Amino acid sequence: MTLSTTKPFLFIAIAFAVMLSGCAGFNARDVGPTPIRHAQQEIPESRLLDVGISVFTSRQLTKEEAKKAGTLPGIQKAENHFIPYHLKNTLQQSSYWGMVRVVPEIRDFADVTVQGHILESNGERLIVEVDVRDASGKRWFKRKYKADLTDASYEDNQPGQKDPYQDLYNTIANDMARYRADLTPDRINTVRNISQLKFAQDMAPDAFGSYLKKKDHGRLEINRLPAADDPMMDRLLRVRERDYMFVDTLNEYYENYYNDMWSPYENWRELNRTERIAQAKIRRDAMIRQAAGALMVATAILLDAKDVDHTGLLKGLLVVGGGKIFIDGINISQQRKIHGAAIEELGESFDDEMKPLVLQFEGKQYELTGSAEEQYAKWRELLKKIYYEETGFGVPDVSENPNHKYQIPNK
Amino acid sequence: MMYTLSDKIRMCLFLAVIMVLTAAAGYGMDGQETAEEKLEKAREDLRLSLATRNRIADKLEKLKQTGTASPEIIEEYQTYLKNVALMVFENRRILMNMEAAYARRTGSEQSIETPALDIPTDIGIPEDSTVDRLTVLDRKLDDSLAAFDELLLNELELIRAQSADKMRDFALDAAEAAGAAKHLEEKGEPSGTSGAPEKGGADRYGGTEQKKDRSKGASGYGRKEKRPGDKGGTVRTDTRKRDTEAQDDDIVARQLREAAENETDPELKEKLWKKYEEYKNSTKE
Repeated sequence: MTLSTTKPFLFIAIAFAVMLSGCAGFNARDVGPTPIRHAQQEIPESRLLDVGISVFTSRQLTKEEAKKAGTLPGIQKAENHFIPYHLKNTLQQSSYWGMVRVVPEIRDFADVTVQGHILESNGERLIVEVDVRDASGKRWFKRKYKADLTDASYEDNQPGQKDPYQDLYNTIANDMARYRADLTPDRINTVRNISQLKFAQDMAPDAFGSYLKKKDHGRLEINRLPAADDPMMDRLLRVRERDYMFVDTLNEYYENYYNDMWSPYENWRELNRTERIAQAKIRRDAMIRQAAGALMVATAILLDAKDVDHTGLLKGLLVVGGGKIFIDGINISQQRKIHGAAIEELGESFDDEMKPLVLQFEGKQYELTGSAEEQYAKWRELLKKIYYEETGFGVPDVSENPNHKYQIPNK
Repeated sequence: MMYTLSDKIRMCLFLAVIMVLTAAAGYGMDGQETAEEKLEKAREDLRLSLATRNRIADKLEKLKQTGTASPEIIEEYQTYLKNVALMVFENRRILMNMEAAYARRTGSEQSIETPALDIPTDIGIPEDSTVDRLTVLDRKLDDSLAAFDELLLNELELIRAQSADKMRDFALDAAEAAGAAKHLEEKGEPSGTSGAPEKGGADRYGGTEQKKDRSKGASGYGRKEKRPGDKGGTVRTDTRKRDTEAQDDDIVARQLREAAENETDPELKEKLWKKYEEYKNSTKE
């Protein structure tokens, strides 16, 4: 077999390889139609766990890489807030949880924390990885979820209630609910106490540094609990209320951002999907025709059909010239370019629309977070002074112990 | 028992602190009643929006069942229903947040009072005592917490003001759809034709390709910056008639009326009142 006869087979092999490469899915769990699981009975307040969902992350892509992935850096940034906020709404609908809040970064003080990473998002497909842990550091689960959309996915959607990827959100919520349902009341109580003590430790390490201990596996356990009438703990609880209020206020801004983003984001996803499907169809058609043409040529060669005019067979099927591909007279390259440009334009249009909202949101978040951080620093200082005043212990000498670790008093 | 001058000064300071705290507690009580009134209004708004939504949903269902309503009328009612459903969602969210904020504020006010009142009545307190220093530090903590509360409550007020604009826009969209549907019903337009008046604003969440100018609400009723010296302006209104009509307002009418009452630009105020009256007429059976 000469090179000229093996060429078509090589081409077909390459074509199949290219088609197969499109099937990468990060080994994620495929999500089908999934109704949300609701708590059958009202859960008493003492058994509720609060959830903190941190703003999601995604791989930092260059503009070129993002274009290839069907997105843009600006869209990724917006989605990092949108997706956790919609997950918050879904979790609230399930009624399994206490307060559910989105937090700007990992804040370890919630009873249950959810961290997420967006692996792929382009209007056609969403793949996210979610890591859920409780306050002790125990991992509940870490899973990847994948959902592909259909035309019907874009019907009857409403902000805060139903998203095109609602089944994916429901699946995550159901997995969390399933885990929570297996926890004993004692375990729930322990988790709640640990999250409270972690906050106390952060705000007043001198007073509460010894109440938790870290085990070999990195998980936290309670060493001892404060007395029921401990005045220092009372103060910490009052400070914690302000922390809740601060996060709630931030969530109000997230809510506005989410609502303002809803319409343009849904438009972008739906139209982006349409363009990507059109582009993929053109690509598929081109490959099938090329493969069919090459197969015909190869068959003719093998049968040694001397009277077959190779170029004649391909003529009208496939003409390659000047870097452009024509099939049946249709300029496939041009078609793909048109859809590609539409995808790019959609992304940029969405980005432009979101810019003022992002600036406003980030500005407000920065301002509020800055004010809160100042307050927190002030409270830490006051609580430290109060602790030493109340206990009569001397304030540690900074020069001897620059890390400000608590020392056993000399009295 | 002879009291020294410093003892007398301490007694006066102690009494002054008690008086200030009592006054503050009284102020707090007043603040509490105002918050309660706000909460009650939020609950009433939610009840009303649910009732409005159910009424429109029933009407839409009946229209679909008759099979005689044109697709245009059905579409207008769907837009109407969608906007009222968004108002229900927004009202529910506002109420939830208000209830949570109010519960925390009530709890925090009660706990703030307790340590500050733990001032011993024994007037023979040494000047540099630990208790004095502790009390001062506790008070600083309380003041700092109160200042933070103020900061956050101001932020929440700003956010709620934005929510009011949103509600107004939903109400305007709903009123447009209701007016268009009524017009089509009265004209008895057959399927495929529409005599409905040109709509100023499109369905906010209808997934249209049209870029919306987000600085304006539907139909161009955007927020305008207040000009210096801008007052309410005089608008010819029949206030007695409106007060009577207000009693049977549904949630859309209420939002339009409140937007008109609060609007300071006379031109916009007039437009909003007009929209309110048109809507009231369109919903009369």
